[in-house]
Amino acid sequence: MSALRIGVYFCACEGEIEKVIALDALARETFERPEVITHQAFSLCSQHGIDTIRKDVKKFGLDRVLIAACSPSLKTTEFADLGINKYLVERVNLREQCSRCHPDNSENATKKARALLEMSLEKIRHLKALETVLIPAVKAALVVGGGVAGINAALDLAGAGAEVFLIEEKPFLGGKVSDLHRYYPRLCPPSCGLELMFSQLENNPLIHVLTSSKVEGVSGSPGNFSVSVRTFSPDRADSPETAQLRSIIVGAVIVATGWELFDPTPLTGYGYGRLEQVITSLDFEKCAKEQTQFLGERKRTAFIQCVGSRDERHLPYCSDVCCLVSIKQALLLKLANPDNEVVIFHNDIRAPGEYEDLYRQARTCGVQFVRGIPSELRQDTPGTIGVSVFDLMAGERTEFVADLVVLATGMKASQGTTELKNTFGLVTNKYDFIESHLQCHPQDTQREGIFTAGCCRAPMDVSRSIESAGAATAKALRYLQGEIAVNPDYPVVDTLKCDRCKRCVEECPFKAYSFDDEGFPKVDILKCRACGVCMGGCPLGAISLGELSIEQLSGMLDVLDTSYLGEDEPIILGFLCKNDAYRAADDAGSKGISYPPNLVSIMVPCSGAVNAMIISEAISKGVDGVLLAGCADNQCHYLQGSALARARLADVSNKLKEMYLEPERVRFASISRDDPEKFAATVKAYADELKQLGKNPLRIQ
Amino acid sequence: MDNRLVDDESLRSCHHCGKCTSGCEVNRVDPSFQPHRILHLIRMGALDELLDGAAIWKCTTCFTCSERCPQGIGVTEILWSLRALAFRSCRTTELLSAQKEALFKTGRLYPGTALDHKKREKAGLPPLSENPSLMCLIFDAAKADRLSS
Repeated sequence: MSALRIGVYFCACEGEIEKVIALDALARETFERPEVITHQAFSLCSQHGIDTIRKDVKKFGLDRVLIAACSPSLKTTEFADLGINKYLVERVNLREQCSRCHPDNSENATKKARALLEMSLEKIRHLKALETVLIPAVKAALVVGGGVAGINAALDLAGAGAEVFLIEEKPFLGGKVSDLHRYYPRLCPPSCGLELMFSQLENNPLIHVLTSSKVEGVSGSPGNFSVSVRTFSPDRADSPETAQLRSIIVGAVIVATGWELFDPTPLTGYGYGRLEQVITSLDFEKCAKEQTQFLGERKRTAFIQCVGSRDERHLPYCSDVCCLVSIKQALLLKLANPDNEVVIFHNDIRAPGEYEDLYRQARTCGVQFVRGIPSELRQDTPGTIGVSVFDLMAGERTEFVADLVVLATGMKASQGTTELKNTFGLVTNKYDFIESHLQCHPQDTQREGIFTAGCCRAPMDVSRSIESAGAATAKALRYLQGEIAVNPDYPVVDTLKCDRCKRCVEECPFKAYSFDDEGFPKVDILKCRACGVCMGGCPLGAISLGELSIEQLSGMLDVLDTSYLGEDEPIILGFLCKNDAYRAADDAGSKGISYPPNLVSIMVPCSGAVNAMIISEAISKGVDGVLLAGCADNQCHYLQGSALARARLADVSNKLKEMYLEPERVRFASISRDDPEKFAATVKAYADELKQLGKNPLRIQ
Repeated sequence: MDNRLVDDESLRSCHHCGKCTSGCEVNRVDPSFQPHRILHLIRMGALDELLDGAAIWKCTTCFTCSERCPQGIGVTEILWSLRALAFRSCRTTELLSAQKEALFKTGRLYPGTALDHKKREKAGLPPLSENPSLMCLIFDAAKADRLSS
């Protein structure tokens, strides 16, 4: 390789870095390297500083730019366009992880800065110029499920100009909502909204409705999914073989497969199915819709809340809608006939936001609320049901004779959701609803290009279903623009090293890997989220990310001076995950929480991206301890990344033991993004522990 | 005092629905017996009050509450543990003495009801005997008379 021309730019940060770090000395030493030019700026992120770099790139024809300034997490916009491919620019964290965290120890802070600088100068040689990849995509989407969420998603997508295929298993659209008598909170009939939506569907040439149809299989990638759909005749007379099968090419998929009512029969005490007067809330809706006299007929009605829901043996979650459904139904009974006696036996009433108003209306118009859940229902006289409950507010038993008992039954994931989960390889949470990262990406699934709308994600009411359909549409539109821009930091498999063990294929949290014709793993860059879990897991180190390769890491270890603090001080190499641990480390600096200078860090996309080979190599090259720090438990942005990292590290630890080395030389830490105190404490404790343990016997004298 | 009961995670998962008391057969005849209240008092740390009182001895251990509790709390089992704790610290009430007497005299804690007799007859079982001799044999072997101390 011909010598690279490298520009190294030191930032004094208006004196802040310079106050602690001997920048002059560092710049002088660096300049002694023949291929390097250096520059010291008072403030590198100022317009003047950036112009200087740009001019140098042009004037000297620089191949690489190294910025020794603040944390790489900061000033990313300022340093984004330096007139050189941005993947050829590297940062050294001299502020958050040197000057700010060791303010009282200028000498050691400078030593640490030197070690970091040397590693970066090595890393920079291995960088490759990368370009955003543009992949052509079809401007069409598939919506599975013709309920209120699916219909709204279809209308929103078509409104944004995409062609839409709306698939419904039943012969008609409308889903569960078409069975309802009234919506809450405005108590208007669903038919009004549905009719409007149906006519919009019909009149939109971009929307193709396929009823009596099922998705049978899917292949391809986001932007170009090929979905096979089987359409039966409405009477289902045709066999699966004779039914029409067609293939649809779509760029994105929205799953809106809805919910099913919990069957209360297993709660034998309530006698559902045995006692005629005991019905579910959905039965109530049908009665109110179909029998004109139903609501106004004078009767005593009891509602029982949380039937199946919040029950560890059935649905351990809150079904979200039942409180308001019962309140709505009770109110309708009272409005139809003020002489109707209505009692709601409840746990906590959940009526957030403006729904409180509906709850208040129900209370003021005479609906009784009794805190306490009946354990069983008894039919002492024919035609009536005796409800006996311990009234927790009164502190005594109360009896109510009802003509009708409505069980506020919970919502569970539908059969269709489970089927589609298998077809699309989706991942569900412990309650069988489709979920990815709930708080950050509620509409995402663990598969790129596939999104959820409505109750297949969680129990929710009509208004939230429609809202989620809009959110899913907004997410899907990225894949429906004719082309998709992909960041070039996806992994590349070196097929010369690969022995086709399939580990990457199995461990990828996003199922982005498949096999090519020769059986080698092939990554689908559209499904990949560049977490690097494959790179971390590959037993042969054959996988590297675009931005971070095995060669880079190995090279950095080669140049790391394990005696940078002298012979007696232990050195910790920290692999810190970009989303949490690295930011916590930065925050420790910014908040003035100091920790020993014995740790030098390398930023990785996820703790799961660190290969055991690299960790072993670090130990063999004399590093006293390796700290692998990921996010807090259960918070991994890449789902099982940190869990895999922890498990793999345990293997390394065992291997060390076999080699008669101390297993304590590798350590995993869970550090939340907002816990700099824990980060500092972890480093301090580990440095102390390693000091006790003594020098790594493999350290070069 | 052994406070393992208070740390019981399942006990703490209670969300106060009151289903245990609603379905309790004892509560129907003796409203002062309220399983939900007993669980609440344990959580609040009022163990002594419970162990000194008579309530914990009133449960017939029919398991209805345990079976129906939506959080899967073993209410009956907890009541059993409370009795064990009370007994261990010699805090037994008259109720226990009465139960013990019934046990030694008839061989069972509660007398059979008319319904029980009918059910046995239907199932082809012999009528309940009032003779405690076999029971006494077992009690003797187990040195159960220590209970009377």
